[in-house]
Amino acid sequence: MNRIFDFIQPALRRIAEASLAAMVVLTVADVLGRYLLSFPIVGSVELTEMLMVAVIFSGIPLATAKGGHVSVDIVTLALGPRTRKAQAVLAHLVATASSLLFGFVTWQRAWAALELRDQTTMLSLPLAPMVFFMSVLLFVNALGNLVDLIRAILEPAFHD
Amino acid sequence: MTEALVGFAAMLLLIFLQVPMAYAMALVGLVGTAYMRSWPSAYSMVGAVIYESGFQYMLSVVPLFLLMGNFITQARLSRELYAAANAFLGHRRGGLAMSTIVACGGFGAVCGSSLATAATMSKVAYPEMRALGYSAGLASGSIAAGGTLGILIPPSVVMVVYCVLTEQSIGKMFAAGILPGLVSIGCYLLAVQWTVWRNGDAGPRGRRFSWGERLRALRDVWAVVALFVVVMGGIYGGVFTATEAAGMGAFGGFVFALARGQLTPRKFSEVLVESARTTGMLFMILIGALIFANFVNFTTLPGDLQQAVQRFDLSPITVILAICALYIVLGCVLESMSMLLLTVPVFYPLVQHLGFDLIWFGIIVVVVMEISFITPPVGMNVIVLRGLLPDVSIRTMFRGVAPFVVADVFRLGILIAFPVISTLLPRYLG
Repeated sequence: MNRIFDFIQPALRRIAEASLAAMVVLTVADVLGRYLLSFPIVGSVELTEMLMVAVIFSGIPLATAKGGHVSVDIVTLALGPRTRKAQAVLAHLVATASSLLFGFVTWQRAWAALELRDQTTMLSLPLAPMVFFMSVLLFVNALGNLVDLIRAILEPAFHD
Repeated sequence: MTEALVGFAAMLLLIFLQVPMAYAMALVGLVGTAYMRSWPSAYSMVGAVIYESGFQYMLSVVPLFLLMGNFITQARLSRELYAAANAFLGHRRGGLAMSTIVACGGFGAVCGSSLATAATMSKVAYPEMRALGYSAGLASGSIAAGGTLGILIPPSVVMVVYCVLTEQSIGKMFAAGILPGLVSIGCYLLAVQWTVWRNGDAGPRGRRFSWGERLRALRDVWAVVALFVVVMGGIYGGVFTATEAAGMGAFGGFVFALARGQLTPRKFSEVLVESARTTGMLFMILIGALIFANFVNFTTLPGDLQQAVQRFDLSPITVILAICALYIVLGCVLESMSMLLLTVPVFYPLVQHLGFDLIWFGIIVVVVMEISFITPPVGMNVIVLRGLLPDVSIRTMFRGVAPFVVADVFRLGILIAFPVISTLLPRYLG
């Protein structure tokens, strides 16, 4: 599980880099095109939205991999090592379950988008692939949570 | 009412079990909605929230401003900012701490994050202050407090999120932040003054600079000024939308970092990935909070709040004061962004109902969030600084930051008493 997730991470980084850099280039090109060449890029808003989806949903599992999601530790720091282990397992279990749920719900949404043939207004780009992409990355995020859960279970007890 | 309160209690329980706040809010929101309506409608609500938060053009300013801030940090413009402030203020007692505040304000003008501002400034300002014999408390306190200016002085990621929640104009919100930002700098300078008045050894005088040196130092900050003028001037003058301004700003930050030779391919990649990661983290909380807010809106809580205000015949200003007090208490235990996302959807209809300007309320919310960044036990700025300055104890830091918290409360009073400070500039914006 661990290894699969480590294998996926570089891909996530590439997606994040490419989509964010593309967003900047697109915006600059659009603004310069509009003011200097009076030639705005058609559908730049839609393209930005698509790139946003890539940035956000690659960013979510990347944050999970770094333990970057905000949580509060003032109460758990006061617990004994045994209870703390139980708490950690429970917390990661809740996180894994919620991420899985997000993935499933978005998957359903993607099927709906496919059946309704949802598309963007200007460029008529089909939306379904993007929503499937969101769903897949949410499943990847669940995998990241699962890695943390397994680690919490295997860890003998907290020692810091 | 009861359902909402049970929901809040369940969510706090999960949060205190160290479940990431985003999941805690989403889960309670989902189960709550299923209880109020049905499971299928709860599922489709969650699906809709995730889907819609992905495709929101307005929110694309978030990663772009984060990226701009990260490039600027990488470009090490903080050094010049600090040197310039120091040239003017360094010869005073506590002058280096004052320079830290002013430089933080300047950095806040090109960076929208409180943590990034504090972290960057700590690398430049802390060694200088300590070398001159400043107390660890004043040195770290001024950095932690100064860092909070990052979210009040535009651009500001927090303001963008507030605008999305309350459907306000980002341009107006940014314009509103400028004068309160200057007021804050003034209040923090007074806090430094007070600290050195209490204990002269805390901040000894530095060297006096000649006017020639001052002007030279000032010339070195042109990059920051240029970027601020392009981004804010562009929004204010109607040349750019907020997203375009953020994109231009990110590009400008990239150019500066590159021109100053600070951008290796490896660092470039790290800046991009870091910005995406922070974006992912913020959107996860946003998704969680929106799911929770949907549940709260199904309950009778928002209506009950308005009725309670009428029944107890509370004056509007009492309500604002009560909200601020609640924020300050909540801010001690909750992370700032989650606090904002959790509470604003509940409060803003009430505030609007009472006839207040939502832009003004946004400034008030940002200021109480700033306070939450430096109050114990979960003052994120202090915690981040603690990681960067391992030789200073957290006690010393919180003690050093105390005068600034007092200054913050004072400033909050000023901004509540004189709404015009916040509403003046947005008035002149189309």
